[in-house]
Amino acid sequence: MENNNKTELTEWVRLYTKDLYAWAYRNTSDKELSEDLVQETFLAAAESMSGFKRDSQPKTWLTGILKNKIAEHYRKSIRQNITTTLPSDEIASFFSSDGRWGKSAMPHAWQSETGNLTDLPAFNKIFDDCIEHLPAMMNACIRLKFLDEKKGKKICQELGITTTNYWQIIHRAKLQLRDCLEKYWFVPRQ
Amino acid sequence: MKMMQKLMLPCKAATGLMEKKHSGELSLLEKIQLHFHTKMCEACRRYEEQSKLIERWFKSREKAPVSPELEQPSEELEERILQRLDTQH
Repeated sequence: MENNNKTELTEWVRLYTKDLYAWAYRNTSDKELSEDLVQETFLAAAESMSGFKRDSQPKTWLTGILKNKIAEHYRKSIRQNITTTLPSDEIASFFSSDGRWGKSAMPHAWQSETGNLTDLPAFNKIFDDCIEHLPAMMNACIRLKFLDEKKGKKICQELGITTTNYWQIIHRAKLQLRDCLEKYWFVPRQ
Repeated sequence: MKMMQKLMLPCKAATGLMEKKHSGELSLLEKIQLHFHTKMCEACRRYEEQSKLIERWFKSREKAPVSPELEQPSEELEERILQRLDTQH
């Protein structure tokens, strides 16, 4: 690497590591993984400094690389879990055999203030925990969906998940998330 | 009567269609079925509202505060990255 590039990259490490880490953490809820992904981002940036267009912000460019690294992580996770999670039907526990809501799964009204909950670190902690408790396959698909909807779907298609299955996975993930939030955030507060 | 049966979805299918709806992939029949179902089913109306909230919370996570010790990387992360950059080249 040329010396100029090296100086510049060192400066970027000093300037942007914290922000990139925080961004990675919000998209993965995993401290160690976030640190690894930020490190990989800078290593990849060092390899492709010549591809950086001077008219764009370095932070935007680096965030783009990081986003790809996160997507790649969840792609691997889906590939590893693809056979173990798809055939089972966790969804059954939410509905009776005729497809109506099961007694214990029927959504209750959420009484407490729902507007600005994401301003509360305590709520974000529970939200994080609920996402992390999803089975690996659902976790990866829903993370990808919110990282980049189009890319998420494309990755799933490339891995052989049909569109119908993709929606089913997101549906199940949503059902579990909703249930988890109700149990651990809303009900205890009523 | 047959027509009614065709229109009346079970809750499991209706909530599934809500996910498909987010990306505008519903067929006309599915749109009608979902509309019909949510009109009549309070639990699914509630589910749809809560599902939208979850979407919104997910999207606002970029700005959401997390606990301070998780917000920050380890102190030595910057040094570690700089060392790796050095050994790589």
